[in-house]
Amino acid sequence: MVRELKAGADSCNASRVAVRMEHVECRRGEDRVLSDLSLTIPEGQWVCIAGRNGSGKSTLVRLMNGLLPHSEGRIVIDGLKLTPHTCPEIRRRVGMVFANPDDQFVGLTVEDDIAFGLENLCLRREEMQERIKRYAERLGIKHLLRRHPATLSGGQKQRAALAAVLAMEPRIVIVDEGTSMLDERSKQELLGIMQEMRASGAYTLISVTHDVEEMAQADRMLVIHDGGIVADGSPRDLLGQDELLQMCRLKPPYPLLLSRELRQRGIEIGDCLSESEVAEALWAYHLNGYRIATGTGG
Amino acid sequence: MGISFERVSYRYRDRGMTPVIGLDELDVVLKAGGMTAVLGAPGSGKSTLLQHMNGLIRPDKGRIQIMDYVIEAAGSGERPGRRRWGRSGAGGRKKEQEQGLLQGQPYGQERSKKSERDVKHDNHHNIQKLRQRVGLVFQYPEQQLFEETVERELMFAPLNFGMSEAEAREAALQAAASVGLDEKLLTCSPFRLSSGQMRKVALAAVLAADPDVIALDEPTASLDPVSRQELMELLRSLCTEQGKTVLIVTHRLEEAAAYADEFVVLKDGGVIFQGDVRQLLDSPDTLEAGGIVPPRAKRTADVIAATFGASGMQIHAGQRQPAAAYPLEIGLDASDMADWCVKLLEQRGVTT
Amino acid sequence: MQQRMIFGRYIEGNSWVHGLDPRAKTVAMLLFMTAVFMVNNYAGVLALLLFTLAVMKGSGIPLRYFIRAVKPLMFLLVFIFLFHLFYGAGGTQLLDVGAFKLYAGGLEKGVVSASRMLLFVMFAALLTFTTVPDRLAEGLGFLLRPLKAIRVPTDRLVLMLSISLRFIPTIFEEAERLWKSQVSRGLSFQGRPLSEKARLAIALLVPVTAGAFRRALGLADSMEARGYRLGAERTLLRALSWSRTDTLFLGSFLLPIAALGLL
Repeated sequence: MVRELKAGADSCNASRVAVRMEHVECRRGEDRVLSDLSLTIPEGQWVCIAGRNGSGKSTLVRLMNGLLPHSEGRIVIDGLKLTPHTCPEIRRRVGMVFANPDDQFVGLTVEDDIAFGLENLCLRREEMQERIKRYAERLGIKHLLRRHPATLSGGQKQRAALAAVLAMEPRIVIVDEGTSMLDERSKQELLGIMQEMRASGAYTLISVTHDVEEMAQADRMLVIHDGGIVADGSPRDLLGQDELLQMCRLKPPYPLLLSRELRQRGIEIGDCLSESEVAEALWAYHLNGYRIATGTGG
Repeated sequence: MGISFERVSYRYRDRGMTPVIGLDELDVVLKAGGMTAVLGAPGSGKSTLLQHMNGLIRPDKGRIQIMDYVIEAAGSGERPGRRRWGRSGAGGRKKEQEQGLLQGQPYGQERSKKSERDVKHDNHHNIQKLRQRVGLVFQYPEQQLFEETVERELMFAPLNFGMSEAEAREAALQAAASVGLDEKLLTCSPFRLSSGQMRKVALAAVLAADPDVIALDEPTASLDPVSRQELMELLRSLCTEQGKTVLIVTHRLEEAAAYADEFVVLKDGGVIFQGDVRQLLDSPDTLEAGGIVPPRAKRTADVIAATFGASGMQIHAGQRQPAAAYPLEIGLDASDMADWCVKLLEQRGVTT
Repeated sequence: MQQRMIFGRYIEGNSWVHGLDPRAKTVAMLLFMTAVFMVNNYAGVLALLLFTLAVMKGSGIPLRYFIRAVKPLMFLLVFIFLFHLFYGAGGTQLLDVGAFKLYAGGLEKGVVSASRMLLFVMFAALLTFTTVPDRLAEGLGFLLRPLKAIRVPTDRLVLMLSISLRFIPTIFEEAERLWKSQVSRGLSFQGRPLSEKARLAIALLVPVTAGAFRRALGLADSMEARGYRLGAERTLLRALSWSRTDTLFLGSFLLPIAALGLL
């Protein structure tokens, strides 16, 4: 097994690239869901994937851990080429959180659910207990460990799902529309956790989403349309392109709309993606204008 | 002719050791013809309130009036102290027959067989009439679909409510048109449509019975932002163009803010707020208690005001005035907000 | 639909009955069943009843929960009782009204048979009230272990059982929502002929089945993504731990059985 894994390892700068896909195609029956798709995601990046329903974005992330088979091309995850042999090892390194908080809850209590993945890793009992404790604490669900899923809110269930994934200590975490079924407050909480994960530098984060607030926080944004990548860039660039947003059935984020309106009124500030960015830009503009008006400073 | 809840209480008795409170002495009056948004944290009683609207849940205590239908707690007249299912005597039944009232009569309780059958029939008839006039759309309504074609799906409710095949077909056609479904789709299987279209079909399936009141539980959940907006506009038009009373249960104030006339906030089974969006946004305590995240516009305005306030105090020693909070009567869209920002800068001596 | 079944639900608690090893409880259930079937007179019924009440008291769960568990079976209990009462013979004649003749033997048989049923249901309820379902599944898995020798995949059976237990309430809840949803669209079985009722049942069956499938697919994805493979080796978080209470508990079951043997 070890030899096979080594043989599958990519020779050149394997440690730097989390996901590499080369000319990947995926078919479902007659239909081609994804075609000739190439993509490289460096380690530590937060990439978010946008696209309208049925564009193939969920398929794309399901190829990365072998939940769906690809018919053409090459997929290398964390230095391992994805084959039936390496698939179990790749799933150990790629964690995945799904949209429906209910359907991904295997255990009858939160504790059992976190344990499920650890049991599959064949960990020792003490190790499992230690990890359950550590990750439950980190996600603020320690008091819920004994609870049955039916007694949890959607946000709590989703946090349990994330804890179950993180406890397996993956290097890549995929969140497939993980916020779409949550109430607004739980969504904000989950986004906060994802930001912390990015800041820790320990994970490559890939999120599929319809939420522009979530996109604005990512390092990079991909737009999938008709089974291919049609745009790849920073959220700031892509969220400013109205045609792209229309293609994905998205609305521009509010701070961006406000910055546009402000420019129309002669206040020259750049495209802002968050509340604090607009406020800071306005403040800087104000300071600058104040200096000119009073003749002080530069 | 509106909807009123008078001291309505309901408890779920089958959820664990202690009964869980659904509604607790809830009092609310909703006017007909408008669009009302019911907000609140999970477990605040929003969905329970909705299910009282067409008799799916009978109250333990209190009285509900929906147009000219009345739903009363069982035995509320004769046995005010008794919460569990009681018996209402013959007097109550006579009153019901005279005025066409519904009783909070649980199915299958002990009474002499003959009169039980009478009352059941009477109730059943009335409750079907009520259900025709109050359409209830549950969360993820696309999951309720089952027929072979969209048209049959839309005809299901009209046929159940006693329309003829031809009338039902006409109703289906109208309902499809009112939600903007292409007529060509009527012959399709509903399971071959996209999720957004399926939701429209499910909504049309309720509209086909031509209800006066339509109440929806989280109608936009899991849809993409454009579909969400389209759906809200559609619901608004049902209100303005067809005069229907629309009630939506939601946790997203962001979405409802621009469309609903009135907002009701629930907490622990009771109403803690009723009023318009401005009053709601002006009351941070209510938002906090109701677990409601303010719309992004309001959050942006707050951050700007705070930035100008806090930094202003540090830097300009002579001008210690934090920026005033955003005046909500101006409106929440980006152009209004930009005007306010310009004014804010002018106040600070910066001309644009 | 409105009044959900209480039988088969777990009720949280911290009593010593809750803390027992699931194996002890499963074996105890088997012993109790043996005792229930051995019982054939008033004294035996009384002994078992007192014993059951004692364990119920120990669980800290209010009596009304047990009553609610038994309620749906009330008709059956009354029927069993009356059946034996009217058809049982033997012993002294107690009553003779027209065609009905009541004998002491019949009365005893009625009481004993109805009590058997009652005791059985109450004890089963006690077992499910005090044991988290997947622990019950684990206990069962342990007892099934000998079957491994003949290549029965007991681990998989236990996982299957615990997943079904996990999802039954969810699917019930969904079915309830769909039922309400269709009722709001005017679905009503009242006053319709049987053929029509069967057709209308499709309005419920199709969406409930579709929902169950959707959930199953989602669950399969989540399990696979977390590295579950059929037949692959796994470790288990929980060790079943046998304590002295378990031995005592089990031992206490031999008491009524021995007593019954003597009586």
